[in-house]
Amino acid sequence: MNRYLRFTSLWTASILLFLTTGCWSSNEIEDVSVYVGLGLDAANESRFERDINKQGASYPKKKVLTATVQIVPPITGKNEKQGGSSSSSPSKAYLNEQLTGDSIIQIFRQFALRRDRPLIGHHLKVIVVSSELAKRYSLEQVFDFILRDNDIRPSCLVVVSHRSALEALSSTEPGEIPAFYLMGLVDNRYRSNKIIPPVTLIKLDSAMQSGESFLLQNVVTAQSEHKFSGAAIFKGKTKKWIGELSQYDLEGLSWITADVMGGALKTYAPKTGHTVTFEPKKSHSTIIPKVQGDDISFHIKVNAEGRLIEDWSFPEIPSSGGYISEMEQQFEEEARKQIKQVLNKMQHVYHVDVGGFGNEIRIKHPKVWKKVQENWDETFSHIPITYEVNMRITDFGSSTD
Amino acid sequence: MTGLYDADLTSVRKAIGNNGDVEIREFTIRGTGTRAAIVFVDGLMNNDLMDTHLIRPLMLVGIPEAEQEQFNRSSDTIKSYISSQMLPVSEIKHTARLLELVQSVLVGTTGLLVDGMQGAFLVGSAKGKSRNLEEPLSEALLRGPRVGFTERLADNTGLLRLHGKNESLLLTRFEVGNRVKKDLIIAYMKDIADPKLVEEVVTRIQKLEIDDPLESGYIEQLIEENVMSPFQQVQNTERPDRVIGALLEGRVAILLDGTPYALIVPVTFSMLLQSPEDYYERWISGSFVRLLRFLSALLALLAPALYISFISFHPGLIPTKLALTIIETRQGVPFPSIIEALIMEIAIEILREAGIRLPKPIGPAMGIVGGLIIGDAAVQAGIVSPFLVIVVAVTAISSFTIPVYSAGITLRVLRFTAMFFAAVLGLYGVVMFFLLLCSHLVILKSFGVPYASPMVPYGISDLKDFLIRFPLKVMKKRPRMLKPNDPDRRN
Repeated sequence: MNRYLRFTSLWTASILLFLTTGCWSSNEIEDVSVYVGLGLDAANESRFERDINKQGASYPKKKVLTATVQIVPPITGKNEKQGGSSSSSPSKAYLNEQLTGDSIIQIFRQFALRRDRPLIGHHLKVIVVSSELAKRYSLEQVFDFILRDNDIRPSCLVVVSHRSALEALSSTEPGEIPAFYLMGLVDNRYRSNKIIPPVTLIKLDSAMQSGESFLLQNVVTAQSEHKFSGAAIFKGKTKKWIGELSQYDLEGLSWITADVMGGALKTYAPKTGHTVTFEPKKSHSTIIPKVQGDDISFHIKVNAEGRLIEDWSFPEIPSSGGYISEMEQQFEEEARKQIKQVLNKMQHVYHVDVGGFGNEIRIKHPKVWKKVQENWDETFSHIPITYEVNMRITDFGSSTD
Repeated sequence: MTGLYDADLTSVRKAIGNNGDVEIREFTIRGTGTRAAIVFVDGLMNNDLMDTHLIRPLMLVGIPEAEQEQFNRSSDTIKSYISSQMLPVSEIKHTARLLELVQSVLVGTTGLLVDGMQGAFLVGSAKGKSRNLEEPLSEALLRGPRVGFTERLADNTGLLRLHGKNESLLLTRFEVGNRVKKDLIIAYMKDIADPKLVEEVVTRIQKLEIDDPLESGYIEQLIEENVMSPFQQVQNTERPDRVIGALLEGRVAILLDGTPYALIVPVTFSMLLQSPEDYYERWISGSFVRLLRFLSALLALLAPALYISFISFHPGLIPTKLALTIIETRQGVPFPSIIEALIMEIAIEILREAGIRLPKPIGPAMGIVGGLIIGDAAVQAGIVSPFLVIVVAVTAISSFTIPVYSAGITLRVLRFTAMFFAAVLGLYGVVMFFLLLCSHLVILKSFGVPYASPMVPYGISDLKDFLIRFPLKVMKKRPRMLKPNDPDRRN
């Protein structure tokens, strides 16, 4: 009996384990299209589409957006590959496919009619949204499918392109894959304070859920080359693109949000007007919210340490204490200028809080936050903000004088 | 036997039948004229020894006149006189049974029949046919004794005895085989081994029903608990030092005549991945190598299965850049990954098998050349992807690191099962396979000791000798799972 019971339970368990599984049919890795980049543009039909539409190959749709998928590696003819030397023809290392429509999932399924290998999104690295599209539609609408789809990983990076997303996903450099290129730029944060902390899908989702305004890294493209420059501002209420912060603004913002991991703070020597540059190594900032009755104000304290890394006023200046403190003041002045500019943009140009001020209120004064939460961006633009900057030059590099 | 010389001789002749190699030499004992005969097998017997120590005293020296009367009185006096005064041979036995006489003669003993004496003498004259002690082929060590067991039981027991002066080493002799009788020895330390364990081994040996145990492999399979399990529940080894080590832990060894493989029971899974060298080297390096072996066992078991499941089911789990490389290298491969992996795995297994069966001088060369050429050519021909060749090579090499050869074969067989699970269900299948395997290991027992111990059931003190081999000074206890009589070790 015992033996019989054991056998039955074993078999039942095995059969159940077999039947309840979801993944039955295999799909070999070379039989799928791995797309690593996704571009979302305002509708702009490609020539191919116009041509096939003329032949009647269209389906009922509005022209809302054009999706670009970047497929790697581009599968050339199989015989060509067998020839061996792929290095002899360093053609493009990727393939951009474009289709237009009004539903992203429908567009994706249209690819099934175009390419023999189905798309898989497991390796999607970068989603580029053009500012044009983001101006017209809320990000919540555009990203709805992407956030629902469980093929796409939440760790995927989201950036905004100044011009079309297709351009941002194109490159003339042989062998270069633009999606990886954009992804790699984020890793340079320790070298520049003009790069905002990477916004992944999951962070974007939470930012949209919270209703606060947020920033997305901005990509500019010229002659098929890309550069991160500034950040796009999205209004918390509408989730639409409302403007951009410049590189200079981002530097100011980085002082406020204590994200300085590197970069260069340049100013000019007071007497000679020569270039002097400071490289921050460590910075710490605190945003102190002050609440008195209904009056809210902020005070920002920034402490930074770093080295004097470049000084064109050579040879005249010895590294005396007096000169150093003079230079420290110069740098503080410069940082204050940057902070002032970004605060001005946030409060008076765009009327949004993208510096995390609201968050500080929420943590320190939750009751007050409850009251102001509703209309925070507007409230924020009238709040007085004071700031002090403290810079310390701790060394002068390997200079010997 | 009747005791009548002529009648006995006739019945001996009859019992032996037509065997041309058995010879009967008749002579008379000098001094008395008593007739006598020796029966022996030419070739098995040590002729020199018999000529000088049996025939010479009887035929040339004989019995002095003064003692003739004493000698001739009765059958018993003849017997005692001959055995005590006339045969200067160490091994001598008397038997009254014809069958025993014939059986003994056939394995090299000389039978001596004397007129007027009941029964016959069996004089130990077997010529030692044994090879030299050599380094064990199947278990090579860099550091450690270079001596392995041989086919002769006496040599093997001798090796155990020679290991050191040890009065507690007990070698109990049994006879197994219904048709062909063979000596079998159960070895254990009488003050260490659990008496219940010894008793269990003895009962199982006594219950054995087999015509002829050709090799200890027969014994191994007949005394193990679960015949359906892919895992061996008895360890075999060619190394005396491994046997002694096991005995000192409280295990029991079984030696069989005619094979250089001794058996050790009970065995636990971790033993299969341990080598005596782990203890000879310093503990850090020993532990490192042992960890390496556990890793390679996992690789040998699962690497191709993981490859299949990643390639066919979960391309998203491969790092992006690697995935791209794989996609490019797999372009033009006409088979799904399971077929591709099977082709290479089976090719490797065939090569390995051929390498063993081939004559020694060409075996290894053949294996290497075959592997390289087949691997390279298969990639060139576009039948398999280069990445798979790496996987298969790593797997094959990993499976060779397992110190117990039969355990290596087990893993190889299970690897194919894992591959099928992977091909049907992907990673889910691999996980399921692994779970089934683990649950089987947990149920399995070897002579009452859980196979997965000391992990399951958890024995914290035994863990000192599991993944990491602790310094000898720390390992002060013998494995608890064996319930040794004397739990303390003196290191």
